[in-house]
Amino acid sequence: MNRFKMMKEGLKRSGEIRLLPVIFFLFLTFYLPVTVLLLKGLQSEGGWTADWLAEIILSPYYRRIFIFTFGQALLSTVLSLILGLPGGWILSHLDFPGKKFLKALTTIPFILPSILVVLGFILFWGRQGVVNSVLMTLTGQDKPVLDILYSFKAILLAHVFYNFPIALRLIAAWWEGLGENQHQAARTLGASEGRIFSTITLPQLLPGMISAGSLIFLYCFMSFAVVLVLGGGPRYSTLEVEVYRLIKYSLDFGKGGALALVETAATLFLTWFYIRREGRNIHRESLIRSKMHWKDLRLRTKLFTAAYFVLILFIIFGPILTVMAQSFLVQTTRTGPVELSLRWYREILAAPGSLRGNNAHLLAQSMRNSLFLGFSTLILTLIIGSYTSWVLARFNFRFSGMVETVIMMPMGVSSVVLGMGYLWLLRGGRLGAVPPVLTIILAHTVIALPFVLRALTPAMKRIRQNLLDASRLMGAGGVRQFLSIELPLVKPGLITGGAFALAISLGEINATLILSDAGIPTIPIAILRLIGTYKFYSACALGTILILICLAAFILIDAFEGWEN
Amino acid sequence: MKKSIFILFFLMMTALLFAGGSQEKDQNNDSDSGHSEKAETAEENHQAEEKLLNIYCYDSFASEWGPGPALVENFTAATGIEVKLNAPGDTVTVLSKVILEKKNPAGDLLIGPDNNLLARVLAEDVLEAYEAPALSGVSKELIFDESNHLLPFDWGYFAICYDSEVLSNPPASLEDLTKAEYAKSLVLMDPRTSSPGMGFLLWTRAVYGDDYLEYWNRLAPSVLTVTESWSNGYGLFTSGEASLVLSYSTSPVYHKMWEETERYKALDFAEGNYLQVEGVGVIKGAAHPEAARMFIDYMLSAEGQAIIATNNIMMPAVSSTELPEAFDMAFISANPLLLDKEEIAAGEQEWVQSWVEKSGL
Repeated sequence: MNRFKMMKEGLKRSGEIRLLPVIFFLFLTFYLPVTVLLLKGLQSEGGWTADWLAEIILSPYYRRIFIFTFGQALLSTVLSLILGLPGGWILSHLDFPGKKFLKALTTIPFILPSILVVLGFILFWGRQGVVNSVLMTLTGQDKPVLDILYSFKAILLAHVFYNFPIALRLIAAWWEGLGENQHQAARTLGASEGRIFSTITLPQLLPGMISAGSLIFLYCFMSFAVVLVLGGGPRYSTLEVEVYRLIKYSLDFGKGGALALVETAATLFLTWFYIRREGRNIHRESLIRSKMHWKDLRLRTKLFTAAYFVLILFIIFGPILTVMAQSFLVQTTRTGPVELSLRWYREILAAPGSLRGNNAHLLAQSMRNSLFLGFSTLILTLIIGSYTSWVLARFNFRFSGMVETVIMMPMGVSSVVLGMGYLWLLRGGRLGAVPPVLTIILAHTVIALPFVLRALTPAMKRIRQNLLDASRLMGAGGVRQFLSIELPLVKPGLITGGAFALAISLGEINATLILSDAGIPTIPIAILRLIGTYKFYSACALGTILILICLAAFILIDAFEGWEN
Repeated sequence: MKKSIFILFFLMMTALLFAGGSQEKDQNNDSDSGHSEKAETAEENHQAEEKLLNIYCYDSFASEWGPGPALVENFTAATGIEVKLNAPGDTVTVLSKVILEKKNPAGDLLIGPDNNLLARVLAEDVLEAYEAPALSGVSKELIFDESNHLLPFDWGYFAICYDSEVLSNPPASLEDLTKAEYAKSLVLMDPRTSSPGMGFLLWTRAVYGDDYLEYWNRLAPSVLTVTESWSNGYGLFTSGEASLVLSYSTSPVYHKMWEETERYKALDFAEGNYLQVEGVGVIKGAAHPEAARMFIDYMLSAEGQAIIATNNIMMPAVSSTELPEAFDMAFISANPLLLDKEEIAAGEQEWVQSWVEKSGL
């Protein structure tokens, strides 16, 4: 073995040590608080106990909740996949004007704060909402025609709203990588398109769909605000909501910890399953398939594509556009006509104290806080994320699958459980000196990190080895090589990851709500409070600003992905 | 995968060591020596930061349109004591926070727990008694804690409110609420997470006793949804989703005072309405107990009571307080209902759990 090769081997073997700081960071900010909380479920004043766990497992009430949680997640996943499938085909097979913009738009629901989705759903699907108003006018009835909210239907609809874009994107990505040979052979042999789809395409797509489905299932399993607000009543309660209630309100850390333990066992298993499938997918080289151009399409395909996007616009953008539209409305008197006005935006921008009874102070403060938390999270996650993905991509590990699992696990723990873990460590006086702002930034970082890594690691792995060998031959050391060659090359990944981190931090409400004291209202918390104090219209205005920030971030992502290609 | 499970296990075991270690520390704190040591530190803090008062209250109290800011401004102007308002959420949340911090209190004054939460406050032993001189001006019925840990500062009744533009024929009693004409018209709150929700549950206990769940089963078809907090529920009501909502006898006063509308009205029910008295108390182990007591005195002064009534939209505890005309919109119940605090303490948990499992919601 020559010297150069030996040096390389030496470098490769030290991967584990290089990851130690990251593991240590995650241990302090994730594994420690979560484990401490979960262990509350196995502790009593006298020591260890399985009583809480037994009580949970033997109770018909909690069994019912577990079954409901599982069932709604399964149904939501299937519906999201069904709705995502045609879109996946369209994105992977067709080329048409505005495609990039539509692709960016479909990502918005995923990063919208749940409280805004709830607000949008009430205004759009509610008994007095847009859909019912239109239907009442059309049918001449004076009672609401559709009863969707406050039921199982509302939960499913909101989950599809949130998650179908994931299905769409992952299926599209998978579909792009499928070869055409088998299809063409089958077509030559005279098989119908339907038969080709069911016997060739679908089985080929299945791994992609399982991967997307397991992620969606995980999100629906952990869904919180949607179930809390749109479900309406104990009947539609999920594990996540019960954990929140037990710990936050009843301060029952024993029972709450035990229930969180059950929930976390399930979600960690799902995450592990997802990461394993995802790992298999990452190493596939995707083919860039040539796409059919809009003007070459058959009329039937054009109509199908148009109809699909009208449906998507309706389901997905109905609530969002309603929020945006309401933000420009003012009711002149209680029975008077509704008028267009910029009043709410003026109030948001007004100097604190300049108007009696306005919310300018809360609004300005929440904008400041959200931007500060968002950019702090962005910087912290990018630093940790790029270092981690660099180590993961450049060095060999004895147990690389395990290391990735340990790093990605925060995906599998609900932010409610994470927030409660922090709360227990902090408020119990154990880490009392840590300022709340820092705990929120750390919580946001932990939540955002897996997403940033998923954006960065494939980009880092794609860098050609011979480029790195060349730079090393010219004497560039690890750090210098990283800063001057690898980092610039993964810029698109950095921007994607950064936008995700920013959007996640801006929209996060569960852990923030648990950890935030009065001093740190964020935009979602301000929206929650505005809804609570009858300020629907200004809540919509603040929501609109948040939507626009997220939209800008994601258009930026797609612009860079475009340049990369 | 075996290896990764091993690593997870290792991480958990290390976490366990941490957890075990901190538990030991707790026990030390509980011992006598720990206590006196802490008392000394509290004394030092008191001298160092004499002019700072840390108040824990529910969010609408501290918000710009609540009474908090005006109270604080006047209080600081009069005494030179700086005040910080901490409002992490609704009353149940604030109380949870104070209980969690019991061993290491960060706040001085707790504003918000009502007569229904008294049992929990006393059981957790988080407040210090204070017999404020101004209590002489408060009518006897409102003093819900004879031990003076929690002093009344305002009150009202829980009441069903209705939208007079939608509903021409409002219900006149709890029984009326179960009628088919109100199907899916009522928004209620979860008793586990909201004080009006708890109040309504106790209201039905007060009227129907052990048969309260039968009433709930009859009521279920009228309920549109059960929200987590009063804020969410009232927001649905004002946005026109429901024509009936659980709120306060004083809610219409808000709309009259700030929106000049009499559209929303509170219903004085035949069976009576359940009384809510909101309380304030000095947190046990507070760093600035003297400043906290001064703030209570100010809350119960004529000026403080007027600010609280018109900004918190509740009836003032001191009966001599002058009120604006809008308060004519609030009714005085001929038959106020109230459960005994010992009875609540003994039964509360079981009532709520039975409600969760058997209310039909």
